[in-house]
Amino acid sequence: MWFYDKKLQYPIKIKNSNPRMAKYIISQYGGPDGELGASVRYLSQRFTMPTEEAKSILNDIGTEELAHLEMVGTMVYQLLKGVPAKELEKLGLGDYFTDHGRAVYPQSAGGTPFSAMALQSKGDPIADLTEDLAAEQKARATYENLIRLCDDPDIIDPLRFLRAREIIHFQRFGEALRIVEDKLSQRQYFISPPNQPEE
Amino acid sequence: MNECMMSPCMTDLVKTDPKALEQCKQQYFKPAPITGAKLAHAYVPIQFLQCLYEPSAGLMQGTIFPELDRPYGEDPEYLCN
Amino acid sequence: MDATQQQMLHELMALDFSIIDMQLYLDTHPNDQRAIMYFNSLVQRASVLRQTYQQKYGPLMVNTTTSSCPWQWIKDPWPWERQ
Repeated sequence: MWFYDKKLQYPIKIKNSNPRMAKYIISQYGGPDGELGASVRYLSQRFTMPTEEAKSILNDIGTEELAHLEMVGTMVYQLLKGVPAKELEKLGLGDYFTDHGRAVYPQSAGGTPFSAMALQSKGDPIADLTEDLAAEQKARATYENLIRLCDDPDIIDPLRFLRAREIIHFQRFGEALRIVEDKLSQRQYFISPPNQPEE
Repeated sequence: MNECMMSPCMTDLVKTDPKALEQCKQQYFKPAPITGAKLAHAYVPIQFLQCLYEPSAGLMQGTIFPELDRPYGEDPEYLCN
Repeated sequence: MDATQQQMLHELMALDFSIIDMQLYLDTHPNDQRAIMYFNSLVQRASVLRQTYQQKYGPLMVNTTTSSCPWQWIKDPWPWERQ
């Protein structure tokens, strides 16, 4: 189960509102390679992982991604706060404002609401961990795109931090894959017996 | 490996000296070798603990492991856009 | 939030962050005794600092600290607010 620690993982102190960046950063909240997708993916895949190391790393990284979800939501909230409606409209957020005002709503930068179609939980540990490696690279690439789009150092700073975390996560999933492969290749039986019906 | 490994050298892991940290960072380029690899499988080298950033430096960098600290702009493989 | 509180919170953030990063390392390196010893020392330091912070500034985790009246958990600021 989960408990809440009443502080951000990394400080976010954005002095100036910036609706233009909010529109892009929301993608890491509810977009295809964002933190919500990451946490649901890992927390779903953990059930069917075969070794203690893999179960725990999926559990723990899935939990950390929730903290990152909070950071991204915080950024969007701070970037939109106090901006008049007509100004939001000028910066491309008229559609968003109509349905969500200045609230934080899980969608991609292009306006697609969050969907589990961007993630998979296959039950095959090698497929799942390989997907997780890809997910971390996609997230890293997205943070880099956001950094390229941004000029404000107050915004770049937490984006930089979140990007660095993706690199660590990639390393850990890579290690989990090595452990799982070693374990599975020693086994006498298979996850699903070949040519036999499932129980 | 079932026994808990005790490092022969128990000096403090946390480093602040740039030269010592630079040494640790080299593990990024020279990790433990991969043995027993098979076709059609993906392998990431296993990282091993060498030295650590102190907590506030680690928070700033986004990791406490210098060998995994790759700031944006440093590595050409991450700069295709 | 005054400078002293900011400073203490930042120090706790740094310790808790190091704990998480070391925790993930240990999940895939469960037999690394040096890492466990460092992890344990971080946990002890964080526990002391957390207690000091909570006594002065209110709860960070609701179910591990007692409250005065009125109920302290709800008090602003919440982490997403500009401090």
